[in-house]
Amino acid sequence: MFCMALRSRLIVVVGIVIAVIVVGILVGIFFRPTPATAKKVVVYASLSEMTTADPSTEFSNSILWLPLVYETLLWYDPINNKFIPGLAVNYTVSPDGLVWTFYLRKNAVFHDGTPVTAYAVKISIERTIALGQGAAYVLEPIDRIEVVDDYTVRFYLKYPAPLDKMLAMPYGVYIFSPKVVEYTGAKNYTDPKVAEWFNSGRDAGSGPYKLVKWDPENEVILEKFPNWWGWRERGYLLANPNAPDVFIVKIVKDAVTQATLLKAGQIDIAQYVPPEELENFKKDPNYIVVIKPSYQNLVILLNTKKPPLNNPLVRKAIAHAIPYEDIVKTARAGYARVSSGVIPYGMWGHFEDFKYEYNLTLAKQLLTEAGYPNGIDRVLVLTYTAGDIYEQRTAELIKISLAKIGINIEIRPMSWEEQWALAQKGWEDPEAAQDILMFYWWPDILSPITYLYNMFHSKSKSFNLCYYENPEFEKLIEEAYRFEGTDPSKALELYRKAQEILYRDVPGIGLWDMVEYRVAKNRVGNLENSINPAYPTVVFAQALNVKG
Amino acid sequence: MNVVFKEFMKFLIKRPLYFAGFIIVLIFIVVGSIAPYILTKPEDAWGLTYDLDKAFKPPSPEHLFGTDALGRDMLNRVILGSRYSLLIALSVVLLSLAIGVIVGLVSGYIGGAVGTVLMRITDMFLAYPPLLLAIALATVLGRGVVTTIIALATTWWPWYARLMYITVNSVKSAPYVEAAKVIGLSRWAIMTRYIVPNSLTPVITQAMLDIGSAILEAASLSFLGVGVPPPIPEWGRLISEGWQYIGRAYWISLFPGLTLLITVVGFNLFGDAVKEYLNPRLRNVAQVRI
Repeated sequence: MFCMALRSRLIVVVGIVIAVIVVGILVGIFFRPTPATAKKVVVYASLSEMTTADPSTEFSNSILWLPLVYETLLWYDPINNKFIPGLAVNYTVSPDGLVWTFYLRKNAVFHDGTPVTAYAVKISIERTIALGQGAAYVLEPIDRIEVVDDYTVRFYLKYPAPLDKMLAMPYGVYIFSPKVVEYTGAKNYTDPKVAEWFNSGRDAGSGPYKLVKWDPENEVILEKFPNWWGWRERGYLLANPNAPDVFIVKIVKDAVTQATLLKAGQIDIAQYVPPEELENFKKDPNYIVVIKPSYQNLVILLNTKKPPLNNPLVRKAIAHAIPYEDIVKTARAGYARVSSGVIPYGMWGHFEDFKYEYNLTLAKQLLTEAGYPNGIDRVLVLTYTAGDIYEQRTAELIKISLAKIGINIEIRPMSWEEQWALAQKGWEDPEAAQDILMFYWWPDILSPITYLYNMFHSKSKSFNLCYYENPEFEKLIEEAYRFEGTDPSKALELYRKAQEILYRDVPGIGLWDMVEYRVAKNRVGNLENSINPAYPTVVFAQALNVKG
Repeated sequence: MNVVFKEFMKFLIKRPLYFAGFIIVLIFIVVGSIAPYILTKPEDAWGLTYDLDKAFKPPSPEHLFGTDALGRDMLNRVILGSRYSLLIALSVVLLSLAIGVIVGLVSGYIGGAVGTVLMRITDMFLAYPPLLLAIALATVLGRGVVTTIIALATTWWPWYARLMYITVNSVKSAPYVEAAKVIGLSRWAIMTRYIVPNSLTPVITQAMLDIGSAILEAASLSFLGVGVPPPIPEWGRLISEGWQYIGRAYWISLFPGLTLLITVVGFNLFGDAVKEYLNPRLRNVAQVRI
């Protein structure tokens, strides 16, 4: 009986296997895919979901692809401290720094075929200012914009400011086609219908790529725009004849998975692989690793209104009790630099002498001086963004180290929304807020002002989460910013003074400046020049030299 | 009690697999209870120190489970982790059992409108995938040992409520209950003397079987980053931390993972043993098989 059953089962199995093979062969014969017209596809894995697709208000993750679809007047290369022309070929500034004139290139067209004109520039920038969201605050110095002729646009400022840097931001200064109003039947540019139109997955840009699929939680697909002026411009830095035809941004939310997909050949460029795996990728000739500085830094902000951290001596004790070198080694496997102040390394306005020495004896002494010889009897709460492994590792080391001088920390992972909501309470009631908040800062405008104003100016309620108020400091940075466009050395001197105050008062502590890296398959050439620290997370696909 | 225990032990010894399960559970409970006192490197276990010179050391006689990224002994961390797994799993099951039994009893025995409403609420909870609901709750409540217990118990009790409800309903119409009614016993007396003792067995058996799953779910929450916060060495957290280094130091994830696996298998075997022991029909059949 048993034998019979086994045999009949065997026959069934063999039958199924044969059937599968036959069907497979038939499918192979009749449904052979038509040979693809060798389109070059490059897949780039992004760690975070995309946010919105509105070029005027977007202030978050979507800048990963916006600069490929939209263009700005200028691009900024911070490593060589020079501008790369975008839609503007040239510009002039009046001696008082108040009037800026930009000359546009005449061969640029939007994806809908309309030429890029001075009027488009005017309405694009005005829309950002009018909507007042995202990076709009940076454009505050702009008084009015004048269309001189079709290809000349003039900006009048209320007070001197570095307009060229402002217009090279990765946020809010993208130029879009004036026809969006027609397409949507909106009353004007600020009509919510326009934003709706953008967020429905259409684009009105003039960049080298068109948006063809918008699925912000899974993937964004971009396709080459053949009429982009840059493809025909000889020797243009941001263009390559072997650029990919299709550029896919795929959301892969985990670094380990990104490394696995890269090895499996399912993605071409990984935004993040675990830093610990980087050595292996460097050794393997099948991959290229590009390492660049970045202007993203990790900082902690101390609640300056709540005891015991309202005492500058306690804050200083903490600053001296953090093992910066060890944190960099473990949290980022060395792919970071110990911060010196809150302005990251490599940026204009950074100084190398604002480091705090890791010295527990000194820290203990400061704590005693502050009146806490036996340590602090309350457990201080440190919040960080849950899921961020680098923040978590940093927080753990801070906790261990501060315990040695008698400061006990509870590290509390929270979603960014929760973390921020808790921190916002601090302005009304400092007691209700956290004691220490850990977060990253990265620049909108590439100027020290974005760090100093946002995190430490009392008017910046959203991000000054140390609740620091110091009129002297505020006056210094406001003044420095005004001189930045016309008298950089004077501005630098003022920025230095402002940072000296921060160094003394310790409302916040810079922990480490991120060293950024991308790993790609070696078919993706020229990756080195397609990454620019001024535009974090962006891979300028139009400059890639893709083989095969 | 002693007799029952002896008989149970006899039953176990005859079945090596169940006996192995029993031993695993025993070790886990003993180690979990006395964990803080048997640590050789308590500072490592509690995450109070770090030593980068000792980081990423593979398993060796000195560090049987190797060391993690901060140079801490993994064996000590895993041992301390058992305490949290034990605490969370037992609390979750006991808490859910308490709620489930009461809800099931009330809706099964009293019935009527109250019963209907309670069971519909139970159904609502059952409609959600349990882990998903737990993740949502843990995210809202914040991260911690207590919130993990609350989040898991909230998704867990409806299963017991349902089971209890069904059993109570079948016991309710048993002849001995009818007889008790005829004698004129009060409803309360019937419930406490007849219904409850005779309905508890299936629920308790189920609870025994579930402890393994509770350990696993608690670890899942921590693995996903919504469970127990650092530096508590909960197993799920240890696995998720080590996972980042899997290409370089496999042992950081491997040993907590193996321990978790063995413990859960142990509890499942033990749960099966209890189930079989308490069910005479199953016991006789199984004796032949195992």
